[in-house]
This record gives sequence, C-alpha cells and structure tokens, in this order.
Amino acid sequence: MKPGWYAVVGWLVLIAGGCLPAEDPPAPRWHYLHAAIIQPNCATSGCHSALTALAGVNLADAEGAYVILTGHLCGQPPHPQDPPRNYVTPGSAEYSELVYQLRGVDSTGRSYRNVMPRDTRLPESEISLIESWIDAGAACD
Amino acid sequence: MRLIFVIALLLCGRIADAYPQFQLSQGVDRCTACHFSPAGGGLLNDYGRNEAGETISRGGDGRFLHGVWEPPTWLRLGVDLRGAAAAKAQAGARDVIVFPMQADAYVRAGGEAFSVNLTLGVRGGARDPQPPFVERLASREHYVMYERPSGTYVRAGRFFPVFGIRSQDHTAFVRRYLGFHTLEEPYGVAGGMFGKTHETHVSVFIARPAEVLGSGVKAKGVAVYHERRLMDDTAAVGAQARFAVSPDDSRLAIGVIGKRWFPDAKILLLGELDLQRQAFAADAGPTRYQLAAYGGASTFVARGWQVGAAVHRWLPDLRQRSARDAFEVNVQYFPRAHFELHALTRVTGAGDFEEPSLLALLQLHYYL
Repeated sequence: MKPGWYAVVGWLVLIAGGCLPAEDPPAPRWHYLHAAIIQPNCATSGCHSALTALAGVNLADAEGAYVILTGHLCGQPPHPQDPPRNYVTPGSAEYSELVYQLRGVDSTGRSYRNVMPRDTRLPESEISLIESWIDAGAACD
Repeated sequence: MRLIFVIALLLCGRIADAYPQFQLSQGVDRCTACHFSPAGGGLLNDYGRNEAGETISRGGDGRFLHGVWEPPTWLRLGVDLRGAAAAKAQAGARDVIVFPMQADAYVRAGGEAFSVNLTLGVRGGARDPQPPFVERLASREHYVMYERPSGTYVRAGRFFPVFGIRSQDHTAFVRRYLGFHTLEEPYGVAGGMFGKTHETHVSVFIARPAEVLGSGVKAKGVAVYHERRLMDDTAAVGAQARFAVSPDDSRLAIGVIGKRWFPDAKILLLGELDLQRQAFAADAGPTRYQLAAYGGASTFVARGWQVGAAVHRWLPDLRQRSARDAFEVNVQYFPRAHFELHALTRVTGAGDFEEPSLLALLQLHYYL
C-alpha cells in the first residue's frame, strides 16, 4: 500500500468516528464503569493505582474501588456498620462527592476545588454514565 | 497542597524515552541507531552519545561521564535525571510546583550478541508523606537480549512492546490510553528484525507478577509492529496491532503510523491513529470502539533548538461522540551534550472545550 493510502484510510476512520450514529448511553453496571472509565482514568501510576494509592484511595480493582467509593462491600447487603456515606451516595448523584469531583461544582453550584482527574475533566458522556449508575442505586453488578 | 502533590505525581513518571522526532530528521532510520533497546528510549549507545554532542546539541562530549572515564566495552552505563517546574490551571484553580521528576540508572552488561539490561530508578518522589526510599524504587525495564549483526533479535523480561510512535511523553493519548502509561510495562518475550528499509517486531506479554511492580491493567496478549521506510528514508509508514486480555475486558487495537521528513523545509511530520475495540467480561456492558490519535510537527530551527507542535485526540466511545483533545507547543534546547531544557505548553479539554485545563511545564534534563 502506498503511503498516501494510509493517510486516506486514516482520515476516513477519523471522519467515520464523528459520523457514527449516536446511541443512548447503555444501562451502566459497576464492572463496566470500572473497566471503561475508572481504571483507565484514575488508577494510573501517579494516582490511584495499587502501587501509589494516593490519599489512601486504591481504585485498581473493581471490588476494592467499590468499597472505597460507596463504603459497602461488593456483593454484600448493606450492613448497619457500613459508613453512612462515602464518595458515592447510592440513589443520589446530586449528593455524591464523586460527582462534585468529576464536575468541579457541588450541589449548590459552587466551585469544587478537589477536581478529578487532575489533568482534565472526563468527557461529559462518561460523567453522565457514572451519575446514572449512582441514581440507579450504585449496585455492585 | 494536596493538589500540588497530585499534579507532581502525575508528572513524575515522565521517563527518558527516545525522541521519535530524531528519526529520519537526523539521518538515522531507526531507534536502535542511537539506543540499545529495539523500542528506543533509555540507554544511549556509543553512536547515540556521539550524536548528542555532534549533531543534536550545541557541542560537548556526549560520552559517559563526559568522557572522563570510559567503562570497559562489555559494560555500558547511564543515568537520567530530570526536574521540572509546572504551572497548571483547571476549573478556576491555579498552582505552581517545582519537583524532581526522574532518577534512573541504566546498566547494560554483555557483548554485541548477548546482553543483560537493567533500568533502576526512583518513582514519584513528591508524595506527602514520602514513602520509605525502598518502596519508591522501581525497575521499568529488565531483560536479557540476544541479537545478531543481521538485525534480528530476541529478548525476554520486562519492557514495552514495540508499538506506536513511542513518544517520550507518557501522557500522549496514544500512550496513556492504549496501555503504555508510566510503569505499565508488562513481562514478555519479543523478537524482531531490522532490514534496510523495514523493521518488524512481535511481542508476547503477560501481566506483571506482583502488584507492587507497576500500574495499569494486568493483561496478557500480543503486539505486532511493522514499519517500512520509503523515499530514500524520508518517509516511513507502519501498521500495528495489539490484543490484550485482562480479567475485566479484552482490547484489540489496530493502528497506523506515518512519518515524513521534508529536508528542504527541515520539518518532520509524525502521526499515529489507532482504533481499539474494548469488550467487557461477563457481559458487563456493551462493547466500545475507541480512537486514539496523534499528529505532530517538529523542526530544528538552529543547532540545539527544536520546536514542535502536536495535537492529541481520544474518543473513549465512538458512539457517544465524546472526545478529549489536547494541543501543545514544545521548545527543546540542547545547549551542550548531556543537557536539555524542555518547555511545554498544553491545553486539554473535553467535548466543546468549555473548561480547558492549561499546563506550562519547564523541564531540566541531565544525563550521564
């Protein structure tokens, strides 16, 4: 294949990327969210990987990340001794600190300084998926 | 204060990889012209050290210890030290930080055919409180290699598979989102060959055996890379594929790379485009199709001065039309062999760029 063809194919792919029909976000499940969004964006070397666990937060594996974010054990029914609230308030994205961190504003619309990820915001579609999961009860499914 | 440490750690992992901008533009056609590693980066060979003094920088002796002491021929040593100052603005927050970035030592022992290679360094040292020194030690690469004068090689150990443009910048989207971020080197076996006008590499890899060895998805798989140089070594095109399986997902990435050197204008264009299919285990969610792209241009405006600009693009789910983009301008100054001053300005944003983040980074690099 001549070099020009590589460029043509490349540009076609780029154009195709913008022309695919948009779909409604799928019903989010925790293991999907973790593998698709949390792990690649948060569990990197200098941040919340198992190796670094910045601020004591290790988001490298789905079950451990679920415990840290929700305060509940994955696959276990809520326990009276579970912390009342952590980064995620199941059923309410509006009152979940994780959403404040991702959006950079809290529920009153004020700027939230502890923005995550540090380098740049997640795409809107990914934040919306996380909000949908929280509003649906933040199950560990 | 916590924000400062987090940003510092984000940047600390920057490693001393090769500059892909030097290929073609400096009269060399492959990474191994200047580096021992088939993937480039890390320890410079004798030719690379000579080039550092004679061509890239404005003079000086590029040899180990500036030529004061020459190690025996079976031993090659090197050290990379980097420090940086960065200013960053995002969501109304502004911070300025100064921090150590990298401290790596390289050892290559052996002859022209068989060698043992080790990189040992200290990872992210800006965390508060500082972990014990022993816990901060990390070895990104350690492998044994057998190579022949014909250009074929085989190696086993820890290293990144040959893949992509192999930018020195681990935050480049084609690295960060495709499994080539800091300390994500897997273990594996690789083989390849360098011909007059082409190179081919095949790597089979497994996840790191212990969590403390690194970060990223613990996956096993295979990566293939083929590059062909054209037009009297002023152009190169490549095709690549990587398939990785982890307990949570499988990722198949297929991509192309292109390099074009315009000798008259003294401009090098560099591009990479990858499509990735991410499928999830146990039907956790719908398969995603992703796109990572890089396009850059660079030129040496004078001896020792390289100026460049680049665009990064990442679409984590093509059907959601949600993108992350970055634009950057780089100025690199090589005043003498062993020294580099790198100024980077980058704007990154998601979607419509309503709230972009701004980064200005000044990095001082010294190697022995």
